[in-house]
Amino acid sequence: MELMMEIRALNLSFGGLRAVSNFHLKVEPGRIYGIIGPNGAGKTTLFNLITGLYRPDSGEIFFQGVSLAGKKPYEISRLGIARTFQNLRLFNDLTVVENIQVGQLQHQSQGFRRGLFKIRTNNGLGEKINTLLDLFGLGGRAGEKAGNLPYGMQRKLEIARALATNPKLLLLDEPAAGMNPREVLNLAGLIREIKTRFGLTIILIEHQMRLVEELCDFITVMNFGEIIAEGKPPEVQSNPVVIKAYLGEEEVD
Amino acid sequence: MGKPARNSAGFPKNRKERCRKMDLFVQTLVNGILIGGIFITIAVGFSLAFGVMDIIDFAVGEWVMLGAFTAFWFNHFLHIDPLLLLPLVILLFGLIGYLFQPVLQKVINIKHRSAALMALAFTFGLSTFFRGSALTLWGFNNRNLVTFLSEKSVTIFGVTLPALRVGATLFALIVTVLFMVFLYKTKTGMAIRAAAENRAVAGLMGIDSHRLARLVYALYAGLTGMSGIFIGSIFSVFPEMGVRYTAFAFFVVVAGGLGSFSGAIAAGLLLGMIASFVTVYLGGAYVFLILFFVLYLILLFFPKGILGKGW
Repeated sequence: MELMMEIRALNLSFGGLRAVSNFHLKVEPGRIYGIIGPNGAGKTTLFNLITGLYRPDSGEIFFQGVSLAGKKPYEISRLGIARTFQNLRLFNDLTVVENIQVGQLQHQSQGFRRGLFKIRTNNGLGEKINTLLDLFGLGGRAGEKAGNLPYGMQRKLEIARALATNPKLLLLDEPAAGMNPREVLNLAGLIREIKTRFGLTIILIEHQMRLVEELCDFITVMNFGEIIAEGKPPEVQSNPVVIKAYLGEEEVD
Repeated sequence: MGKPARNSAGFPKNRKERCRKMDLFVQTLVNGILIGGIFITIAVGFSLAFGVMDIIDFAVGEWVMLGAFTAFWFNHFLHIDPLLLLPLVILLFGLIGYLFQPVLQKVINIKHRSAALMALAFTFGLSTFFRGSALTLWGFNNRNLVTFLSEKSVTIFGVTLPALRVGATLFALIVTVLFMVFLYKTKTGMAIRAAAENRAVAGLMGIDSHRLARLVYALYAGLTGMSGIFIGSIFSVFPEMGVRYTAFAFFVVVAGGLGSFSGAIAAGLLLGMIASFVTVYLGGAYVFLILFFVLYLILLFFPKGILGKGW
């Protein structure tokens, strides 16, 4: 099977700190990958590297055979990689619908210049936006400013906005942060649904082991920027190094 | 008449004088609103350029000055009324801004520990360069920009409305409304608002913020140059006229809350009021003193701007 993405020997240091060290991952299409590890393990840094916010010191990322080296975030987004943020980064002054529409803008990139002064109409929202609003239960609050939504809905809006860019690969950064067990279960169902409906491949950063076990086909465990274990969920869970570094710590919490 | 006047100092001696004081107050208020309209035009563009590019353009006042001089020389040699030059100046300065923005962007993007500071220093140098060149070329003289509206005025309820100021304010309002429609009703406007709020995230949504920044800077330069025509014809045209407006632009952006459009509009109006009232009741020399004292109070009590919308 052709790989969706391949990361080879990726390195990034901040001063003396090795944030990501020799990271590698092969991503097959249609699967869900989990990246776990304690705080500061370099997980979010990895997402920043993939999306072009940071430049690696060395190593390569190939997305569908194309190297991402030197590409700007907007170019990477247009190739089909979208992400959400651990600490929400919605456009708070824009409405719920506008947040999703921003995600869609890039698809009009050819007509962008022509559509420069084109009036935006709300009745022509397009099927995709309505689908997303319904799917995430945001339909009733479409006209509200995103900043006024309750926390849980903001989390969902982040995912909806990412989906509006029509990604092939979706990077979710702790989507369950701050959710109670029932909401987590709900979220797991939602992630599965968007995966099949939009034909996605997903990489998931998560602290909640339940969600990772439930969803992921393959797990990479990081600590201090390095991969300390990788494999299928049962293998990783029984790995003593992981238990010591990560799961053990969780119990102390 | 003939009756003994009241003794308390400053209290109106008779009805006629009381009316006159009232008229002066209303007149000052109206002037404040009228001049505030022009400040708003500059403020909106300035605030937006700041939001999208993260840069404070120290040369804002010099764009005003150059706009005024452009109109002056066109008027001098070709005898075209300055007000008819408005579209030309918008286009000309828009083009200059569009061509110039990549240079500015290069400075912002340099790999320097404090690139933002370097960009600030760059625009400061630019402002000095423009001002110095204008002084060398055109001297210290004040010049008048006479338009077909300059001598006309309307009087309503004892308040004199100079036609030029009314026209300028109306024009500024129309431009601001059009600008707002563009920002809130078009796709590009939506992208600009998104990029102004968070450039990095907008980039992750596939928005090429450099191209937007170029467009915004062109709009900003066009609007600011255009304001120069009004300011030059209401007051006068001279190479150092810009300094005042750079300070004003700072006031508006900080008082309104960094990156907030509605805040910029409110602050523009407030600025017009302060400038107008202080000039009439205390004297023009006190404008900056009062202005920055007010700014100090605003920062102390409303650090996010008067509408609480900035960051």
